[in-house]
Amino acid sequence: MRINRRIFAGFSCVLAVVVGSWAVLGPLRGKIPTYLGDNPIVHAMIILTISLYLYFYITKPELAKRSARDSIKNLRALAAYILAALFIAGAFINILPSKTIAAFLGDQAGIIAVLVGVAIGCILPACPFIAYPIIMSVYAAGASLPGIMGMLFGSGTAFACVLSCDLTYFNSKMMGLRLLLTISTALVAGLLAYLTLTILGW
Amino acid sequence: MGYWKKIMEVSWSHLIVLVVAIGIYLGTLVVNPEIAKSSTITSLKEIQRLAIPIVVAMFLGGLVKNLMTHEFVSKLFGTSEAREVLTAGVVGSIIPPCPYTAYPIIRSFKDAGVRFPAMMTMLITSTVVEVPQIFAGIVILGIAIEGARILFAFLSSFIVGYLFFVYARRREIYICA
Repeated sequence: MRINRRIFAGFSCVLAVVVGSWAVLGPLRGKIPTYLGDNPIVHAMIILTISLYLYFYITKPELAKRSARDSIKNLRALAAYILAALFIAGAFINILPSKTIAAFLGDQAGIIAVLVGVAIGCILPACPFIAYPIIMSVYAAGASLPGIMGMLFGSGTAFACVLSCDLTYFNSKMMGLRLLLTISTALVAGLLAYLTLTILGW
Repeated sequence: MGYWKKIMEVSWSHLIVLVVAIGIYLGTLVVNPEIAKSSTITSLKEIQRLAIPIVVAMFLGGLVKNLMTHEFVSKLFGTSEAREVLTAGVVGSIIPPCPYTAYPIIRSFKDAGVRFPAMMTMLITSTVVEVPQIFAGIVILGIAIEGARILFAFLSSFIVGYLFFVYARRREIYICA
């Protein structure tokens, strides 16, 4: 009986995801209210989330409840910072001088944009809900794609909470080595992205 | 009131975001009220567009966090060193990206006997690749930028992780300091 319920729940949820995603990517594209986001992939993600929660609520109610509780707790703890980050992003779009952005992070900066991007990214908060709106506002203000890719790769690598975890769970030696390796990785990723975009003529 | 008290009690590193936001708006309000007004309008539009998708992304992230148990990721490890580094890279990139969640997991792998280069690879990928951020990435950056971010971060993590593995083997560094 339990297996049947699981199979039925799984089948219904897969069907809901497939049909729902087809609808938002096809016939309903552009007709969904903007408060649900303006990207059809996001709409498909909303359907996926609801379906997954329904599936786990039917098959493993404890897991679904625990996940919802964790998410609400996380949301309550971060709401003020996310709002602050969105306000910073909104201000950056209007304040940041496009000439300065272009000089250090724009197309004309070339490979320097990647290095500057990684350096700025390192000190941004590790939480994507806070860092990403800020990075997108810099992009909107005139930064190049390699520049913001550098910011994304470097994002949060040297942020205070990550450093404090290095020291709490390991030691200062490990923190130094972790910083060296993660910043090197961010630089390699930025350079790879820059070369790829240059070859593709982006 | 209790909520604000709670907010003020968190680490200073998070408070910086609040202080910077308040500082920017107070500053622009004094220097150029028009910019402050247009910034507020831009921000409110962004909040209206992103509020529900961000909440949904957080709920999806919460579910993924609870599905990625230590037992689940432990099953992925092999026996050879090279495979251990490779698997560590994959595991590091799929564990929850928040350092307060990721570090205890990585530490538990280290305590369970995962070798030093593999553990360093986990630390690299958990900080740089961060696959669970995909939901936030899709909502805020768009699928193309988020896809490119994960792809290049993954590739470079393996390059740096493997180079460190070769270096550690030569220097016979296996035990975490």
